[in-house]
Amino acid sequence: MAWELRNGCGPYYTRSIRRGRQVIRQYVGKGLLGEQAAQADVEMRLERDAKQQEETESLALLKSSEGMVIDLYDAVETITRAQLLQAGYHRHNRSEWRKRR
Amino acid sequence: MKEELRKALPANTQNDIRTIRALVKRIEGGQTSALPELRQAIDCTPAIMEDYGNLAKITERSLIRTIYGGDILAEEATRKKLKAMREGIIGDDASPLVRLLVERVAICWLQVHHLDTVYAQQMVNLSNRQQEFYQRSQERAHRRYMSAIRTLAQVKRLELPTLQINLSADKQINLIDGQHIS
Repeated sequence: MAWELRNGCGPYYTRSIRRGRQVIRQYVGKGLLGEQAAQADVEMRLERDAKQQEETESLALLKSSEGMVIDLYDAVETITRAQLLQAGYHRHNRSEWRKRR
Repeated sequence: MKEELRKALPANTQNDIRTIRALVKRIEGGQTSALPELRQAIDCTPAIMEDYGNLAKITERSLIRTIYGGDILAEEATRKKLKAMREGIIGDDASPLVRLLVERVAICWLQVHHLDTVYAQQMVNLSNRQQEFYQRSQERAHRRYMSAIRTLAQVKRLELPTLQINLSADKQINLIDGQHIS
């Protein structure tokens, strides 16, 4: 989004819009109309950024809670395997635990 | 949140679990000569199990807080459900290992429940990125939950106390879990 001077006139408010692979420069206008459009764009951008921030934070929270469950899960798995191994059990190719003969 | 929990775990417990993990990997890889070393390292497992038992409780509290965000009634209902779930599985004379495995099942269930709840609540508002993330997390959580149940069942089965009394040279009574079988 920008204010541009064209042939020494303006400034005109313009915005860039992506249509597929193309980026199109859209002319909005000057004066009050341009200012209102600029203000609306700023608000829209702020709202979009806030939503993105919220999304990132919620995903980070999920990742973090998954991380702590995985830590606990892995530690319990290690303890279990250690206990079974030292009690004389073994497992072949991740199959059932069996007592070593 | 994860860092908070790491701090709740003593540094020596974290080191011990790393040592045990390395030994287990060696033995499972065929180096049975590491067994005496594992037996030595495992002497400290009661303390480790206690620490991880405490960690499970902290994780549970933290997850419940994340799910319900201060809704005291819902938090209490979930706590009660978890308690009933534990009591239903543990039984009277469970070993510390079985207790820890039950804690793991409870935590895994809670995570599955967490993801299902959040996904159901926000499904309409989720972006593609979030939807994909939630679905993958749900799959992983569900796999962990199933695996935790399977391991618990295996350990419970293997831990059945078998008592053999030899009455005389030609008479023998075998008892499994208090039941006369021959």
